[in-house]
Amino acid sequence: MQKLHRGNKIRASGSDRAFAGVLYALTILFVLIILYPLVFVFSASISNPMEVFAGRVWLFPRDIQFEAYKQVFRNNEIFTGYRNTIVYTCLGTLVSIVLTLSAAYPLSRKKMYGRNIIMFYFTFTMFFSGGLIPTYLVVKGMGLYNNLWVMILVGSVSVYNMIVARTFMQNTISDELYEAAEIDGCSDIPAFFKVALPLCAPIIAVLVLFYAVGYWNSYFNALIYLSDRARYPLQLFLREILLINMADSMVDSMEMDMDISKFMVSESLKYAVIIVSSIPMLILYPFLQRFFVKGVMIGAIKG
Amino acid sequence: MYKTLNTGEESPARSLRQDKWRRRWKKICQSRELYLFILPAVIYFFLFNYVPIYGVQLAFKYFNPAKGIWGSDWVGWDNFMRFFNSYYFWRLIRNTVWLSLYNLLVNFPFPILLALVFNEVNHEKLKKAVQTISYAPHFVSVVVMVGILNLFFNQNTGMVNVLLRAMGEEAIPFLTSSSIFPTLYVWTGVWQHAGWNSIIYIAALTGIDPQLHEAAQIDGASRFKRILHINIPCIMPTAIIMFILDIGRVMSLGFEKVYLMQNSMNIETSQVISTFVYEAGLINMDYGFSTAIGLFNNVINIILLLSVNKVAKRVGDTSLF
Amino acid sequence: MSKLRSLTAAVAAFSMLLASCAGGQGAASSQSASSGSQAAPASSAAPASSAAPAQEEKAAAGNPSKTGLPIVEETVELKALCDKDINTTDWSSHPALARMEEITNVKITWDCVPDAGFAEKRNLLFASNDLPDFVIRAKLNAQQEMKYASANQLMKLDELMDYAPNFSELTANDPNIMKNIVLPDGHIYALPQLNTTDGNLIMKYWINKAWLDKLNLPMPSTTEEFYETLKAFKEKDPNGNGQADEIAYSGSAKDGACNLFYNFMGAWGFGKNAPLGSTDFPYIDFDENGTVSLIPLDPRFKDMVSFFNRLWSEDLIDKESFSQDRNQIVSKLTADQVGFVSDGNNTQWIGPARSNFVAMPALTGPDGERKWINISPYVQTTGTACITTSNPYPEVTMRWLDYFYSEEGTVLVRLGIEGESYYVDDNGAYQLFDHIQNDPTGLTLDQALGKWALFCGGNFPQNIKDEVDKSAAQLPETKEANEVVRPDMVPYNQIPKLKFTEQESIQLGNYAQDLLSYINENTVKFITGERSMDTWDAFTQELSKMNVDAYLKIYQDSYNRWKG
Repeated sequence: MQKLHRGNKIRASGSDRAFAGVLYALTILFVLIILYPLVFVFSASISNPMEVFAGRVWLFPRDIQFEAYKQVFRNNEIFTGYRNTIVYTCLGTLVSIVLTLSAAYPLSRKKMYGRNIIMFYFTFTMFFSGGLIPTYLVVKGMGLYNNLWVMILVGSVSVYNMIVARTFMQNTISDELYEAAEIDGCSDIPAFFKVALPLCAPIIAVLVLFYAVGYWNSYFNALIYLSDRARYPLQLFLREILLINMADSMVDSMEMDMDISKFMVSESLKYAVIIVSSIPMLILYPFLQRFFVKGVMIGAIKG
Repeated sequence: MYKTLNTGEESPARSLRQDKWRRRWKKICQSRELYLFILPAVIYFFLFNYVPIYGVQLAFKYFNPAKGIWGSDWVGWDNFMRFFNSYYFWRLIRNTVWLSLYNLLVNFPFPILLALVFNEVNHEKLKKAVQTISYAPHFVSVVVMVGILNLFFNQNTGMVNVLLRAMGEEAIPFLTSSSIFPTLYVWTGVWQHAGWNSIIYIAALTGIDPQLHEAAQIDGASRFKRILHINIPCIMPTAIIMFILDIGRVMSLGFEKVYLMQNSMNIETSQVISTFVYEAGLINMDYGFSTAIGLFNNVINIILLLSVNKVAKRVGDTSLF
Repeated sequence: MSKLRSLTAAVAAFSMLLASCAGGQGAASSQSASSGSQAAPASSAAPASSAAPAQEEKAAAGNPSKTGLPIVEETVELKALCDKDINTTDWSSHPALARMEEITNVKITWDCVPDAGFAEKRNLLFASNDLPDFVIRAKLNAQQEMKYASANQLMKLDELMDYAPNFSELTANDPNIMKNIVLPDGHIYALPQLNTTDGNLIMKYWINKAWLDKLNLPMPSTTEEFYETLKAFKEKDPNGNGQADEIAYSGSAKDGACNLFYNFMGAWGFGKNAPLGSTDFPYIDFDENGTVSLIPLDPRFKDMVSFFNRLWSEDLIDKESFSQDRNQIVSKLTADQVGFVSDGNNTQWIGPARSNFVAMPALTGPDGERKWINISPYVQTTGTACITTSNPYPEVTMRWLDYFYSEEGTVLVRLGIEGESYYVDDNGAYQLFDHIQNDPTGLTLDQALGKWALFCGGNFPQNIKDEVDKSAAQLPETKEANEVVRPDMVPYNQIPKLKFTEQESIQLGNYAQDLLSYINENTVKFITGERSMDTWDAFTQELSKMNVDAYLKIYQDSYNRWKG
């Protein structure tokens, strides 16, 4: 890789340099577009809500205050949700990856007889399902209702990710490697652990991220399968805070003196909740990225 | 092969068939460890995806919860006829197809472009920073995403309209216009997912043998040409698989974002099959009707998937199965 | 306390004696109930001839006294589903429900679902026939009620009326209650929320009095004057900041186009005989003879839509009216940019600017019609609580629910617990504590009171009267506002809560969505000018092809049943 860079510098022609300039400009522009809304939400969460509502917050926070965060952290349920979500995300990601690889590896082996049929068996489920009520009844029948495992097992394998993993294995691990292993007396299952798995680091890193994000943001299963609030994931509490609007609570209200500042704090609470709930995933990524990028590199060199 | 020829002399047809079975059996025996390996996933899919398919019969029934799915009364094709004769039938089809196609046309190539561009950034730290930032929006949930959207495109206080007004233009009712809705939906999708979706292509690009590039450079190929003739062909197989999968899902747009962005002003273009099914099923409890629409949708998905798969097999030599 | 208990037991025993004379079903249950309240030791000591002691015990535990507390001697356990409002704390650890358990001896395990996902959850539980024992804050509409009832999932509550002394008394005094909750099969499956406080029942619209005064304008009394007033608001810079940032009329019609104009429908002569309310099906009308008609097919509706189209095209209506929620309006109101809003039954929601706003009287339309139709009947909400057929102790549950219709019960729901959230002052009136009204930690009143009371979000089987109500309905300005529209108000008892048979419910399910959304969408388009008024005839022609006759017949039949 390093060598390639040097080569580029030496040989770069005028038009190449112009081209590179355009590419860099595009990259920077894209980054700015991505970044702006995120920065705004953060600024809004620590600004005086009145300033936000008046549209005076553009980029940087104005009249900085942390009232909204204080409210968020005063809320015990957010901590409960946090804890649950972390448990679901960790366990769920683990289960998902085991199941995904269990399918992806054999499907990546050309020697497996009936590969296409099995592939169709999986892919079919992506496009055809029994619908919500039957699924609900089946899950309930398995005794998973209001059970920790429902959050981990229901919808834990994505066929899409399975195909990505299969394609990766097919493209990076050559038949010769397996043949060599076979000559060494390594049959198919040990070959997975000895040959395939070590080369799979990058794809596992990708899968971890794909699945972890999915678990972190999912709420629908929790909504219909969980009844115990102590088991709710963060997203459900988040939904409660973000989606409730004032009109709903107006149905029957004792409010005698609607204090606009209290109401405004509850608005900026939304920004704060967005930040608090998204931060773990946002910081998880750069942390994982090291392994991720490293994995991709190793995969690239050896493949 | 030689075996077939040898035994072929005795009783050609029969032993040929026998032999075919024997070879098949042999292949199955050879893959037994792989079968064992795949068993957990197969069982998982059977339990969670195949068992519930019995519920499809609801499409032909009037669901009575006390009688259960098996015991409910049959109504034949009533649910389907009601859907086909509904005033909204064609509009639903049109919206679903148009929104997905538009989405596909933009959201499919964009991550590829992004990956190609990012790949050209040689400054390692910058590259890493750029990637990290571009993934960030993906971690935001749909609820939050739509919240941010409402904020930015608000007609009076939204940043975009404030800017437009500052430039002397008329404010645009982004959130309440049925003609703008598809564009808003698709391009906010780009904002949220293009960076993330480019991961797979970036991974594919890093897998390219550096020698290929070096050789091309020696031949005097410009940077642009190298992208065109090395990078793009190398990620083609990945791209085709992604494309097949996307096409298969043309009719099944995720309902959440559409549903949250929907309002009475943009419903003309924002009502799609998935939101309709959700409303009919979970909100109006019209389970038979909802299942019927879902089934109709599934069948179209399968047809689309199989046809694209066939085309891809013939044209690009890549296919799902 | 012990004195009270023995008194209760005596009353219970006496009522048992009375009930046993009634015979039949009542006799059987009263027998075991009396053994429950009075002779419990005896029955447990000597099972006598009973072949199945377990069953005997269950009967003793499950059969409640018909009046007085506790409801049962031996603790009964139930499972229930409830809709949790954002401002109420978790029902599993709620002091008001702990108090209920204490006084009734009924222990309830709550499946306490946040409002945002309640409908889905409730529907799934019923669809999978996995029923809780009862549902409270159930939010059942007429069709859902009928659907679950016909699937035999709901208990017939009329057969349990013996165990609802408070509710029975209310229905005996006001026949209108029964009329509005009974389903076509003659049975009752869900309990209503009753309300007799005018301030809660009469919706109003509000005009910026400060702007009127500043521009020296009179209070508009006709739709044409109203138009002129809005025009003046828009053009004459009433907020005096030199900018043309005034919004004459800001609406919140996100959830339904008709919210923009429902309060004006009386001016065009709609709803004056039996308004159906803006949420059920606002486009159905009945004439003096009780004959049903579809409003959009009426030429007067075209006239009304043209009126709003004119307001829209002259920029007198907030362009965000169909997409904004109340929060956004509040911020505009607070910035003194709004002249008129059409929402709420009091001005509290308007925020700091509320002192500028007063109720506007019902307007006279172009044909001289004038009626105020946006009100709720005393049976404010139906379908607030139901008992399922899988409930082992329906009588106990009925007694438990019925408690909320008593004054103490409604006080518990609305004001929480005496000595904690409220007290009784020297005049015998209920008062909220200051630490609830002005929470030191910055909670709003609803949030602070939600820790002690259950009323938040309404939809509760209770009987709200002025004496037990501490909401803004009691404010002098709200009462004043009521008087502004009262002269033109449709009488409460003319407002029907319509119910449908199973077959009608199915048919309604088939037609309603298409029809309602077709009308809503096109009305919005006509108002906003996206569709030209010239194409009105095409609209009505298309509309009349959409099963209108079948639809109207359902409403006609239902209304005829209601009128009796």
